[in-house]
Amino acid sequence: MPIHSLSFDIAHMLAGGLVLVSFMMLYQDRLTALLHVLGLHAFVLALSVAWQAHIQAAPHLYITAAIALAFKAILVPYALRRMVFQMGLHREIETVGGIGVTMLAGIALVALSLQVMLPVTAHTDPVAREDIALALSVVLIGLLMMVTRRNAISQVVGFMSLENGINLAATGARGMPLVVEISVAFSILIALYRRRRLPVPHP
Amino acid sequence: MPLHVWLPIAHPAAPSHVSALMSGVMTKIAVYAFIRIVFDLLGSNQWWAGTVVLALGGITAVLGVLQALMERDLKRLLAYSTVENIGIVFIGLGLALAFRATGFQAGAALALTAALFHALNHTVFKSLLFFGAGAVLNATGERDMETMGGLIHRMPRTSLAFLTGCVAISGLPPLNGFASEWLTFQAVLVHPELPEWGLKFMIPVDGAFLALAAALAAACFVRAFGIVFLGRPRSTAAAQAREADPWSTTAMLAFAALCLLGGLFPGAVIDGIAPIATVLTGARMPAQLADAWLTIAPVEASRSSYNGLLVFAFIAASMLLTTTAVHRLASRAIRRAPAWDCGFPDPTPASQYTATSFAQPLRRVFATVLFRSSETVDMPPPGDNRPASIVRRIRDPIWDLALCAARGFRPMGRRTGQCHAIPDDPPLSRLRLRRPRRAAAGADPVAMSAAFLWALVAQLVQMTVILVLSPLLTGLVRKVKARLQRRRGASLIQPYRDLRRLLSKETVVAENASWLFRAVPYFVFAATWVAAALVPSFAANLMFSWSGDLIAITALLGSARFALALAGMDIGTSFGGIGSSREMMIASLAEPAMLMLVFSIALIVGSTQLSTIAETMLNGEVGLRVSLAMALIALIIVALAENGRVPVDNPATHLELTMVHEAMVLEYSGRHLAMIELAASLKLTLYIAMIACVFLPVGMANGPAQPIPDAIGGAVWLVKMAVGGIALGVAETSVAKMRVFRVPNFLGAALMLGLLGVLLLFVSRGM
Repeated sequence: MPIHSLSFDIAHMLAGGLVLVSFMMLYQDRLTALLHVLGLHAFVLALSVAWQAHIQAAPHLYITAAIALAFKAILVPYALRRMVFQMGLHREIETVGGIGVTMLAGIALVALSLQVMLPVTAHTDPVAREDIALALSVVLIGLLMMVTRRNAISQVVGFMSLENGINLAATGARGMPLVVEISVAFSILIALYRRRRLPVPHP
Repeated sequence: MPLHVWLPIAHPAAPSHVSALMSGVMTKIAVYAFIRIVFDLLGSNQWWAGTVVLALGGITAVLGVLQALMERDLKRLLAYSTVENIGIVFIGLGLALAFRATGFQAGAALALTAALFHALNHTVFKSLLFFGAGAVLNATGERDMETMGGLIHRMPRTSLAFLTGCVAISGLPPLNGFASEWLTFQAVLVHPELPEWGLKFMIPVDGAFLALAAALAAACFVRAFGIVFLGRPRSTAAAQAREADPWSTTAMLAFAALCLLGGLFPGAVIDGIAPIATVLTGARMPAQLADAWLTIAPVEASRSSYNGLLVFAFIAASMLLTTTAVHRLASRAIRRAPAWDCGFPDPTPASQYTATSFAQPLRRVFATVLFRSSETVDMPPPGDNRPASIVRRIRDPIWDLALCAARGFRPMGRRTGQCHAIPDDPPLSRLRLRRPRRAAAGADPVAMSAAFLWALVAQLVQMTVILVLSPLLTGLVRKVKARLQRRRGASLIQPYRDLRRLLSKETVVAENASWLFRAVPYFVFAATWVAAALVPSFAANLMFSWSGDLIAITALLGSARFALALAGMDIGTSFGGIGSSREMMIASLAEPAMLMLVFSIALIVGSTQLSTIAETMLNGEVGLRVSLAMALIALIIVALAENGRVPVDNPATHLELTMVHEAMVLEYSGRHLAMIELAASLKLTLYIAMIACVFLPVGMANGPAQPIPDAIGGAVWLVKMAVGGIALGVAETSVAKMRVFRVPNFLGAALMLGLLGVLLLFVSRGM
């Protein structure tokens, strides 16, 4: 096992926590609860980014963390929640396949991403390796969620969690410029906006 | 698995004693041929061959037992269970192949020994079960379980032998099935750093399959025994059945004795298998009989140990003790009365739970996807006098694909002569070489005996303390809940008063209750007590903690539940059946989840021994691991489910249709109920103590037993238990109870979390 320094442990814990929260999302079958979990997801992401900022001594990452906290953990879930109530959406999530099957697929995806990522990054910093591997699994679980959900809102949630995964990967790798991140976030916002224009399939 | 299709048809067709031979011996010929060809003739193999065997073995085990669970025909049920056990044997063989290919000889020897041991055990108990099925067939002329019931009164000796077989095949201590399953679990856990990705995924997944199969087997055999032998007779043939002839019963009882012996002295069997393992893998397990106290230990670096004899002795002693004490102190009044059944006893035997209805919750959980089972309600139109019926359909997808998909698997490992790079001694360098502490060797005898004496005292003190304090914990939880609901609530010591009152009351036993019904409370109590005594509370090193590890504790609780579920079915009421069926459904998910989190903890710490785990955690060698967080969440879910706490079951409910645990013990009263209540408190204490011991060992006395650290440890432990009790009370008040059909999702999530934790550990190792 890699070095057991405290900084590594905390980074590992937070990144793993993100995967854990992704699984909580897969488990949820109520829309409002799902949005709460999305907030939690972004909160864990913000913590993780802030910790990376601390150990990499990269102050610009604090800004990223603050953005994650303000927008993703508070604003977006709040907006989505308002949408749900305003449009009077059906608050049970319809899934393709059962929750158990979906979670099994999620586990397989985590295994896959670890398997792909860890050998490729064999010679880099252990913190970055674990982060990238776990981030990839968060991305894949987000994709899985988009695939298995029928409701537009929960697909957006899957998309947001995917984006959180990308953010995690970006902060784990040293020296990811803030510009890239802002552009990623921007594109996501546009995607969100466009999705909002789409008719909601299950009124 | 795909080649199993002939078996459930062929086995029941033969006369029962021949079926016993077919299942017990004939299927082993396949195992023998496989071993000869793969281990002997093919020589060294590639690692992926092991993966293929592992995958097939795991899938076979789970699908086999699920099919058995849905089956109504007793002999077909046994045949499907043979499929399951062969799956377990092949898991062991696959592990052996994989370990051998990666040059880990000791592990290969362990896995091969486990596989052969299980094959041998299976021969014994499956023959016994087929003989029993034959005796039943002779007596009633029926193989359909729906026409049986109540045979325990008519065929006492057969039922005793059959019960032994059921317990053994469910892998419950102290019988032989548990010993070999324990070894297989150890083989799953013993792995070194494997470089191959396939094995990294396959081994933990197979561990999950094995755990699932073991838990489902328990459910399956509770159902088999409960429907056939317990309850009220469902047909005249069953009501007039006669005991088998003395020769048959003697044969069955002899097999039952073999089951017990194999469980008590597994070391002898393992040593007997050792020469084979030496020839085939080039290594052998350490000699087991050499060890004092006849403990078995899987590898030389004694990371975990299990002592069937001692566990059995403990259970027997505490059972004897409590029976004597209760019969001395409590009221001895006993009255036979009609079954209570919540005031609505229905005299027709059709009101009992049937085999199909017992399997229904599990069928809904697993079979909708796996076997495409479907239920349609056939409701006649108004005016039609036909009764409404539910049509149930189960398909075996493999049957559908049978012959086109049936491709054999033969590992094509070529002799390339090339081995994988083998470090000299890979496994042992990773293992924490820490023997469970026994009496310190080499110390001067007087000091040693003093230390021994103190260790003994500490153990006894712990057992008594746990027993005495556990009702207080229940009282505390109730009090916290009451205060949160703005009631004053009963006093903290109310549970003691309840117990005293129950003990002094007359015991009412239903008219058709068998001996099982009266023995079970004492057994449940004894097994729970022994399990609780194995969990370190204030000191990390208890004297007898090496006699059982976390797996053994889980299995002991499994035995207690097995017994209780049988007792629920004994009277033959509808509510008892509901309770037992749901309890087994919950257990069949909670137990694998428990085992998965045991795996993740064991992989981090390097031992399944609770005392070692606590010591390692205490020394802070572990650090923060996300797998531990997952294990903690899973353990909390399991603890809630196992203790029947709120999101899963409501301990305070008196609405029959929502009860699980309470429905099972509905017919109990007086001193029997007192024992069951006490066992439930003990179990709650055990789980909170276990969470405290593994995840929060702060303040626990470490090192050799001494009075002062032990006293501090005791005080800290009391605080931890109080905090745990209060937290439970708060959690129960703030969460709503789930509907029963949503519970599988909840527990499935725990299982997945455990699996995820193990996978993260396995994969992130050595990369």
